[in-house]
Amino acid sequence: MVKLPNIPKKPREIAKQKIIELAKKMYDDLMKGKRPKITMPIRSLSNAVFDKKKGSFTLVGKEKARTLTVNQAKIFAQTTKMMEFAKQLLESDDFSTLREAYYVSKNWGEARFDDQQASNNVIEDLEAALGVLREHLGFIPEEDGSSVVGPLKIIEETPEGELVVDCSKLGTGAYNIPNDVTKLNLETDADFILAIETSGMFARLNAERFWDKHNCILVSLKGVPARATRRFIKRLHEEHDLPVLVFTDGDPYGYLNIYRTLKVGSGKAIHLADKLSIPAARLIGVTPQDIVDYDLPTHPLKEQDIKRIKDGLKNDDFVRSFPEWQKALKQMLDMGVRAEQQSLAKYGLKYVVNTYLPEKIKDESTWLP
Amino acid sequence: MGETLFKEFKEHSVAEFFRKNKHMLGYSGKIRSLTTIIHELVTNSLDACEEAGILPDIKVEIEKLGADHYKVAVEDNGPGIPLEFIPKVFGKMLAGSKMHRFIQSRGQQGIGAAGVLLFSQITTGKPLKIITSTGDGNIYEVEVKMNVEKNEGEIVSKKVRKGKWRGTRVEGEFKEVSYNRGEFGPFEYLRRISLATPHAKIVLKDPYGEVVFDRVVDELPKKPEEMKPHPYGLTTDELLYIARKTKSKKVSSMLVSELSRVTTKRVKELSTYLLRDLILKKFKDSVFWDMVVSCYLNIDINSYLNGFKDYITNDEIETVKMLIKNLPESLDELKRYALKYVTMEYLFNKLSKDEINKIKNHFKKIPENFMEWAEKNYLSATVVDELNKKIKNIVKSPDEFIAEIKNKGLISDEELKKFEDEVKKILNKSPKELTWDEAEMIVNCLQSMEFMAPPTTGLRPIGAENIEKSLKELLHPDFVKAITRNPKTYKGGIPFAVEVAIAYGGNAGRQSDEGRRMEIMRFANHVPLLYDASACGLTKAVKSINWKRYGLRGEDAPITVFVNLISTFIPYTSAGKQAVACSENENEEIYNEIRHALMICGRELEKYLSRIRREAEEEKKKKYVMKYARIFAEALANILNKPVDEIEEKVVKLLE
Repeated sequence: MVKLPNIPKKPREIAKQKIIELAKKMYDDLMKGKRPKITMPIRSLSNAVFDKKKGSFTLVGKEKARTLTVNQAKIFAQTTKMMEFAKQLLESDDFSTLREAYYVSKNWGEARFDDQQASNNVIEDLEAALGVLREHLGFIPEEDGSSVVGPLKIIEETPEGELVVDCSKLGTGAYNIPNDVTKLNLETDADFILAIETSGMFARLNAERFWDKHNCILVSLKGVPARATRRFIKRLHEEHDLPVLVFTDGDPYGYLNIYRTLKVGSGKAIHLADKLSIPAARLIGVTPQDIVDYDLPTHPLKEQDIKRIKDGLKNDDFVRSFPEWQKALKQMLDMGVRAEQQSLAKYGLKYVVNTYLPEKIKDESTWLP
Repeated sequence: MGETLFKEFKEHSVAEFFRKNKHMLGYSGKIRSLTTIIHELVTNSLDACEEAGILPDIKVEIEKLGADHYKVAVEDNGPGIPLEFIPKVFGKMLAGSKMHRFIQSRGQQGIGAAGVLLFSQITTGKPLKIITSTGDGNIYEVEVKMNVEKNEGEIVSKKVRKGKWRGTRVEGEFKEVSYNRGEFGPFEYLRRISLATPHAKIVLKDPYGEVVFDRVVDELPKKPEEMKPHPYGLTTDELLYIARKTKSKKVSSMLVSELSRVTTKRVKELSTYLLRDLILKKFKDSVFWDMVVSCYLNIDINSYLNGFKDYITNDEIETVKMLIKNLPESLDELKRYALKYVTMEYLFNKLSKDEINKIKNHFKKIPENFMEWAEKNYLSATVVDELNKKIKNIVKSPDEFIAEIKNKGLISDEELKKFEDEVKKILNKSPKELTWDEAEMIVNCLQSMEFMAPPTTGLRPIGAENIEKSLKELLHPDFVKAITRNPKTYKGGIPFAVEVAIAYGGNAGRQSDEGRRMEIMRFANHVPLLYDASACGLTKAVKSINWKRYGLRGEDAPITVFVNLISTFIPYTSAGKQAVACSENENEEIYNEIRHALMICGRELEKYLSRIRREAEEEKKKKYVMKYARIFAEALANILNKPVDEIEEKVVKLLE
């Protein structure tokens, strides 16, 4: 059954409205002789709390205001120019990478940016002040996403008409998630999404047509997932109500860097946590218990692995909200070893496809939240 | 044959002396020689005018006659030179009236004008022409030569004419000299001396044109007072000179009237010191010497020698024994060893036997090296102070000494009375009969007594306000700060004061290929020092300052540093008298005073520079802010489709 996809155009309309609203507010203030302000939430962990119910970090509400003074004249000029630029992008249905935005600013006279970081910061400020994803303002990341295969149709409106990519007909290849997923329409009747850490494991599962046997969409993460990948998975999850199961190496990096980013978001984009995080995601393996149950070949934990676990147990709000995670991490610490997802090959190349994954997918009790 | 030799010796002595030594007297190199000539004549004019209470107007003319051949004239509006003095002023070498006077003066070696005459004579064979009048209506035009046999000046021609004029004009021709307006020649000299003499007007006419260094102050400064010499640092030679010149009838009254801080009470105290030294003299080389030494010293050096004989070298033992024999002259030397031994005693008490064993090689060191090592490794500042105190009191007071000597039965009452009479005789005799040995004994005793620091009121600085006026006139700087420090003393008894100024911006600093660099102007008693900069302690003091702390980027800055050292006795490094001897280890009082004064000025400079920088930043900011305002307004106008100018107006109003 094909579900009607949400029309992706709407968020861009909303973004454009918000730009105009903010501009109008500044204009009104000016006419009254008051100093225009831009308020945005403080984007740091000190202003965030992990909301267990929501499953993501939320900002507690501390805001900072930037007021037009002599010292802030430059950044105000830059911010409004960026707003102007974004409005143009939205009106012309165009996009700009962060790097391109930096170069466009070279036309802004004295308000031009001296380096990329300053330009990125203003875009992030706008994101936070308007409460809108930068992609919806027209700014797309430098990186594209990773690979996708499975029962999924990707439909795009082009000047030449509709373009359809069928991800089940790509052979040994895969669909490459583009930098900007805002304009894609996604159609699917898959049962769930399986996100995979390593491209090696992705290749194995694609070759065995795992997605066909179990009616799921395979997405590779390629390490810590890029923004585009996260947005893609989140859209699929939200628009088609698909569970997100994650399959990483059994090591602290896989849990606390890769899985955690997908699930909860990063500290930097904390103001967009609920737009980028996927609280419903679940880690199905490789768990510390799996290492025991399946007697997997292991390597000893490195110094930095141990440090990462200890740090997570002590300081990470996400870990501290889930006793299951605490238990699992402590178990790994006691065991002193880690195992890769490809170590399942010990039992044969097809073991992961025929035995491990089907068993794990069936048994929710072996998952980590 | 001895007679002929002697005659020849006499005939050539003065000219030969000058010829052989003129490079030491400022006549080394063509440009420097010309500078010295100008210096001698101009300082003479300045001194004469100031002495007579006249605001100096000086003309300096330098005319090129050929390659390395110039005619120089210096004319002043001073009191003029009476005819009979002309030969003496220009002809007598080493006859300066300013020697042996404890007064701040521009300083002559006593060569002065006579050197100018000799130099002209040696290089051209021509006489100097002097035109002078004391204002009595007669103007004398006189030619003077040096009679080298008689060491006298001789008038070789004389003319007189009537006229209303008062002053002196000295003209001379010189070869082996050269002139340009460069950094190390007469031009710079005149430029600087006019800075230091703000009440003088100097007009220079040279082959390149005319320059006026005008006065910035219309009053003559007060004259420096002659100060009495202080007992500290007095030499036997100086005391005998004073004795020959004094009007006092007795040595005791001479000491009170001719020396600073010496009172009748002090002279009484001096007599006990003299008594002690006479007694010591008597027992020298006698069998009783060791006993006498034990009455003289508070420390038993011999017992230290015995106690430490396993740790110190035999050479050292011999040396110290020799020093004991040569007391009291060797006291200073002995003190070094005494300090070492009391330190060793302290260490022996403090450390265990093993520790002593480990360090025992260090005990063989000479006292200075030993003390350096000990202070580094074992001695705290308090301990060092205590040990030094012990050495300070190494000698018993004369009264105690005499009591001990009597106690030990080394001297009978009659012998004692004889010595006391001898002392009375010395103090009561006529100063002109004072012998060298007696003078030496008095001087030595004075050094061991305590005297108040000398008064310093006789010094006469240029004055901070005057220096600032001068620098402003000459350099038109953006910033200037001068400071005159209060007088202090160095070497225990010689009064001095420093004046320091910093000028920044405008024409300050020296123009070089890379832009303006720091220029250091050194003065000693208001006379510019142009040469031997790298050997001079004043230069070292300036360079020792960390100028970066005061906002400068180093020495590449348009800054002129002015340092004037005034004193009754300037410690030059050599007979050339262009470099002052001071550093962290030598005459440190002078070195540190200069540094302090420079730091005070430096702090003012820093305040000025940061204010300037702040203002420049704000200017810059303001310019940019208006640009941003425009851009902001344009962007907002585009988003909302509203007119730009209205928005810009409001923004500019907010940001003003």
